[in-house]
Amino acid sequence: MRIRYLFILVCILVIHTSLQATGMGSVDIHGFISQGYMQSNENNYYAETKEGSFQFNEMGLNFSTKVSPKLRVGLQFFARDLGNIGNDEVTLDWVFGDYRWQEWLGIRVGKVKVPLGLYNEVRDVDSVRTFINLPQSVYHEKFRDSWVAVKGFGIYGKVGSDPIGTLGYQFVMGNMEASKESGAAKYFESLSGGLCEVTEDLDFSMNYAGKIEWRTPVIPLRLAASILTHDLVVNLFSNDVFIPIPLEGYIELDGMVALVGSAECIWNDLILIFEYTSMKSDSTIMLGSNSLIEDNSTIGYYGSIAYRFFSWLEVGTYYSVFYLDDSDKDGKTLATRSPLLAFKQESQGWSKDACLTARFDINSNWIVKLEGHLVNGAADLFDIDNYDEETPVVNSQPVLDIEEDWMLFAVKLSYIF
Amino acid sequence: MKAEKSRKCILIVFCIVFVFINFFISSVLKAEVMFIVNPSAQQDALSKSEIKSIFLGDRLVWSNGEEIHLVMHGNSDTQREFAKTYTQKTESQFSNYWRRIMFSGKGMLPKSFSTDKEIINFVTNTKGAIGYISPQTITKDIKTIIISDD
Repeated sequence: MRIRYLFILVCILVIHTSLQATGMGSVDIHGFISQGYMQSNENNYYAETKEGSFQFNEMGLNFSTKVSPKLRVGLQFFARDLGNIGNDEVTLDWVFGDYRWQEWLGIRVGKVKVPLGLYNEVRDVDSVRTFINLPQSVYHEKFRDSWVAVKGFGIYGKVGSDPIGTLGYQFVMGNMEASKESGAAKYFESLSGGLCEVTEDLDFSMNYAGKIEWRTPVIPLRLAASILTHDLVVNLFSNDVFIPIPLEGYIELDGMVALVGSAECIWNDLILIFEYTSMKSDSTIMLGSNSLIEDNSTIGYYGSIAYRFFSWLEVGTYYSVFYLDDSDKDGKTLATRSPLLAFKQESQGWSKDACLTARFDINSNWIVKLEGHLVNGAADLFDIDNYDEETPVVNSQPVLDIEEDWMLFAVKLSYIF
Repeated sequence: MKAEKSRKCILIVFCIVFVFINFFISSVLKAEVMFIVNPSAQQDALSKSEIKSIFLGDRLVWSNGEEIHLVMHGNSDTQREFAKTYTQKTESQFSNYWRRIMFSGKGMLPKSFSTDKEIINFVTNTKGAIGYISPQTITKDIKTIIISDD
């Protein structure tokens, strides 16, 4: 744990002690821990899933206290492991002071969550959703640790009430960060087929995100629209294992904009969700003498149904579709755009995922989930997890062992307090 | 062809019956709740939308500026009826709603007690407190709130 996080924790405890002495406030402590297992029949999905992997866990510890009726401070520590992403390094998930001046205006200052879609702010918490793996068409695992929060500030509020419904809004502004152990770093390494490494933490430029949400009064429907923008430059250095001659390069994402439209209908124990996203950016990849400059546009969408049959059993299913390039849905031009991508397979241009999940609420603290995926397409896979075992590199080009059709099974046990 | 048609008809009938049962069960399993507040509270009545706003954490203070202290009921039947009637959520959806609030940093989990007696004790001894209990437990010295339709 870094020293500065310990310092923040001490500050919280000092505030708590002072408030206790004056008879005001108390520190609420809550947390969660989840341990999972994944097994795939083909292709490695973020971890060595072809052989089965327990490198799949999350844990969080949350402290909050009220300084006054309208002012609250809190923080949440978080650690996760997914293959070689995260590696259980403890990070500060969020920490901020929250002043709620009126129901229609509040402000948060610190490290605040990014409001994107229905699940981004809580994607680290397995217990608040039906599924183990969120639909990758909208909630890309590779960007999870970079898109989760910004260091800056946010404003929020709600207006309206029945019978017109309520309109809520959030806007955040600040800097995003991701370590060189993050999914984003691994994704950028994968763009070069693993021929290069990210050796520095990623530092995004000023980012903006916002969300508006309308809860309709009559039909139990929630509609939301959200946006995230950022720019990023990632320096790459050649991986000595594959390239004898040192190479340097970079990846630049300029004017990245992600839009998400969401609709959720809850009728008694039935939950229906549909979300659609598009992501556009001007991207430049330079490596040695090779380059790729393009306007990139991805699209993704999913529909899900979940039903709680009993207090202890909820079953859900979703169908998720993602296209790496909406003008090349069958991936036919993926390998021809640049010598940098010559090793890519067509099936990496899309991903279609049918998922079925059973969630068992053993009691209010323990949850077990079983989940199966039938997947067509390899857009969600990292190249560097799927080299051909016998000949991983030929003529300094990675050789991939990827199957177009594959299955994934996951099980997860969670404890929440 | 005939068998395929029969299977489709059976599936459609099953879905209709299933939806009807879901609606019927939720209408039948009703248990009343009564809202109680601290004796010093100025409120005598609240609307359903105000109750919803309070118990979903949107409203933090009373009209006189006093902090609202929520208390939830740990009894499953009472919680279920409250959540359905006043927040249009099932018990698990209501629970998940507050977990999302808490773990995203947007709020703190309200206090919860398992029995009417514990809730009465908390509400009567905490300024600004509001909770809900079964009507059978109400006594003359407990201050109740009248809930009006919007």
